[in-house]
Order: sequence, then structure tokens, then C-alpha cells
Amino acid sequence: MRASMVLTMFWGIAAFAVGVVIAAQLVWPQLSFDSEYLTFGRLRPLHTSAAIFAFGGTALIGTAFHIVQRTCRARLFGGAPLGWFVLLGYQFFIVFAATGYLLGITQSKEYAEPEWYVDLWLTVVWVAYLIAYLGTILKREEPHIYVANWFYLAFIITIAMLHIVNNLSVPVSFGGTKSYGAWSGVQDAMIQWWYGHNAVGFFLTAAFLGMMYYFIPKAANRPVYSYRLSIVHFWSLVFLYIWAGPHHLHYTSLPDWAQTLGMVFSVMLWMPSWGGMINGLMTLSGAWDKLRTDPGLRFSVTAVGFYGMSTFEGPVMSIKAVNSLSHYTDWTIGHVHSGALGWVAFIVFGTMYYLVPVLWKRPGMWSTRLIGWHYWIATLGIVLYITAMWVSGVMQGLMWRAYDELGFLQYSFVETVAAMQPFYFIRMLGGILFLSGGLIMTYNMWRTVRGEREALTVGTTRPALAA
Amino acid sequence: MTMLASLGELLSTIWTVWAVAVFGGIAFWAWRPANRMRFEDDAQIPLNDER
Repeated sequence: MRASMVLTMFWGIAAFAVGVVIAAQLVWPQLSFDSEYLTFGRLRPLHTSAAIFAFGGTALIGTAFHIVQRTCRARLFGGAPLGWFVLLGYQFFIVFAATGYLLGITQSKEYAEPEWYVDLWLTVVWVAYLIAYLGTILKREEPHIYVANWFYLAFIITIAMLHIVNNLSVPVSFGGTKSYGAWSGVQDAMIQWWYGHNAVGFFLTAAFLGMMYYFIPKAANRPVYSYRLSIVHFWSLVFLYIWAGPHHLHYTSLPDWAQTLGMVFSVMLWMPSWGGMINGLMTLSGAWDKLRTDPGLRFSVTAVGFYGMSTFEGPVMSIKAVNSLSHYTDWTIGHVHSGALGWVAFIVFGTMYYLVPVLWKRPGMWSTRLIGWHYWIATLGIVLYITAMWVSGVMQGLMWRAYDELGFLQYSFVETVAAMQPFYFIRMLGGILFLSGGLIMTYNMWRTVRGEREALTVGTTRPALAA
Repeated sequence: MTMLASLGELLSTIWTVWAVAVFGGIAFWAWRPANRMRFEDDAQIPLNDER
């Protein structure tokens, strides 16, 4: 458990740092130093995988085991060995995948870049994860399965399904890394974005909502605003999300009805998303003063705010008329980062500021003031990032579609690239601020862990995963 | 083949109706007044787990 916190922090810093590097490469392309290993094309999947799978995934594995054991009042099924296998096996997956990217080994599927041998290994680890999680739920002493566990379980099962179907492929040879996918043409595109959007829906949304439904009540010391709303939130999210993928393929060779279907389901997702946001925020009602004294909780609550904002923006962008402007532009990148930095990273930070003192049995984080600094620096970083990408993206879209009076395109492509440079610089500054916040957190965490010697000997009956 | 296609269409219609009915059932279950106390107790689970 403690190991998962340290690994999460490590991968977080790695992901933010690579993000800053590639943001700088977009401002100054010379920064790839003419090395094929450092091209944007190879570093970019390194950044996305480090952020989503390494930072996010490790945080999810650690918190899943923490939550399921406490809310079920049962020790982890398979005990510490299975827990360690899942956590460390997952780290091997990340290292396998990341080294492949730098060597140019890729399936060229967004968020599913790792080749067949890495995919097979992840399948083994993931099945072990499911066994450990489900086994714990089955032997629970608490009659009711708390709602956070539903979200985590939906995440584990759905990711298994998506991963296996999207990565079905035939290796060229057993000694080589290259494989050919089972799908081709528009079916391949549709399956890829069925995978891709549900990775957003179940990995980056449902699982972190599980985190929200446990750690916000914990940190605020009051139950969730409406447990009934959380049930409806869960089921409506699960029923709707799986259909939204086609909005990634507007105005392509995907049949028109499928595009419209994806759009309609994306717009319907407004309701559960905002229901969930209201549920998270209203949990604080009567305890809003805690936000002044507990900057860790401020992270979690701001995360829910960003969740509401980016799940508002997403359906807007899925509407075909809007998408015709926003698609392929930086607007999409800005949207993704308001979700990834504002929602995912902030809910993880909030959780860790609560969980690190609990796991190391400290009275609190070493410095509350530094949490405050982290909060404001990171928030400013996000604001710089997303506003720069909004302006840049809308400008890009408008320049691409501008015609002169004779019907010729008004701008050549390279003119749109040159126009974006100042915004890329602002985006990089936002990234540097976000990384700086992460480094402050690392320092604070390190001091907390070192802590006082005598606090280490306090006994506990907490059913935590060993070490 | 036409037989199969029409069967598929029928099944997908039935599936849509079924899914809507299941969701309606869940919403009814969640908001049924008789279940109110039960869910209020369940919401306390994370706060009672320090025992």
C-alpha cells in the first residue's frame, strides 16, 4: 500500500516532466536533437502512458486494495503475495511498454500502443487484479457492497474487456515484436475508439469516482450527500458511456447513424456526470469551512469541479457542428488536460494528502502550508494550460476553414503552425507550474514519511495490506 | 439470411426495451421510500470502517 503511494508519486513526476519536455519540443522543435529516440512521436505516448496508466493506474490499484478491504471488512483475497504481484506486475507492464515506445515498438493505436507481448503480460496481471478484488468482495463481512467498490469493479471488468478485444492481433513471429491487428478498416477505427473512449469512461472516470465516493466522505468526515443518487449515478454512467465512442470519428467513413448515435449518447452523459458532481460537492454541505483548513480536501473538491467542467465541455464537443471546428485541433488537447490535470491528478493529490499520513501513521502531512502552495501553483498551471489551448484550438480550427473571396483556402498549414507558437509557450509554462507543484508535493511527502521515530511504533488493527 | 437479419433486428429492439426497463427498475429501487433507511445506513460504511 505504501509502495503504491511512492510509485504513484514517482510516475506522476515522470509523466509531468515528459509532458513539459514535449511541450517544449512543440515550441522549439530542435529539442529532439535529431535523435530518433527523442522525437515527439515516441515521447508523446511515453507521456500519455506515464500519466494515465503509470500515475493513474498505480494510484487506482493502491486505493482499490485500500478501499475494498476497509469497506468489506475483510483482508485482501490472496493476501499480501497476490497484492504485491498485481502492483509489481503492473510496474513491469509499464516498463515494458515505455521501453518499447522509445525503441519505436508500437501498434500505433492511441492509448493502446504496446505490442502483443506487453498486452499478454498485462492481461495476466489484470486477471490477478480482478481475482484479488472480487475475491475480497465475495468474502466480505459487511453485508452491503459500498458504492465505491461498484465503480472500481466496473473499471476492472470493463478495462479487461476493452483491452482484450482492441488488442486481438497475430504476431508475425514469436521472436519479434511486430503484430497485425485482427480488425481492419472502419471496424478497426470503431473498435479503437470504443476502446479509447471507454478507457476515458471507465479508467479515468468511473474508477476515480470510486476514489471520490470513498475519500471525500472520509476527509470531510460525513457520509456522501445522497447514497441513492450515487446508485443512479453509477448505473446511468455504465449504461450510457459504452455508446459514446463514435464521437471520435465524426465526418469519417464511419456510417452517419453511428456518428449520430455516439453524439446523442455523449450528450445524455451530461445528466449522470452532473448528478455525480452535485453528489460529490454537496457532501461538503455544512462542512465547507474545512476547505479553509484542509488544503488536501480542497484538491478533492476542486477535482470534482473540474470533473463537472470537463464533462460539460465533452458533450459540447461531441456535437457534430462543434466537432467540425474542434476536431484535430488543440481544443481537444485542452479538454483532455482539464480532465487529466484538473480531475484525475487533483483527486489523486487530494487522496494522497489524506492517505499518506494514514498509511505511515503520522498525525498529518509534514507541512499544510506547502499543500496550499502546491494547490495554487498547480491550479494556476491548469488555467494557463487550458486557456492557451482553447485560444490556440479555436484559432487553428477557424484558420483551417477560412476561404478567400475566390474560394481558395486563406491560410497554408504552416501559417497555422506559426500562429500557434505563442500559445504553445504559455502551455509549456502551465506544465512547468504543474510539475513544480508535483515536486513540492514529493518533498512534503518525503518529510512526512521520514517523520518522527516514536510515531512508528503505534500499534493498529487496521486490515492494511502488509507494507 | 433475411430470416437472420430480421431476427437480429427484433433482438436489438427487445434489448433496448429490456435495458430501459432494467434501468427504470434500478431507479425505482433506489428511490423507493421503503429503502430510505437502508441506504442511509449503507452511506455510513466508509465512516465506520476504522473498527
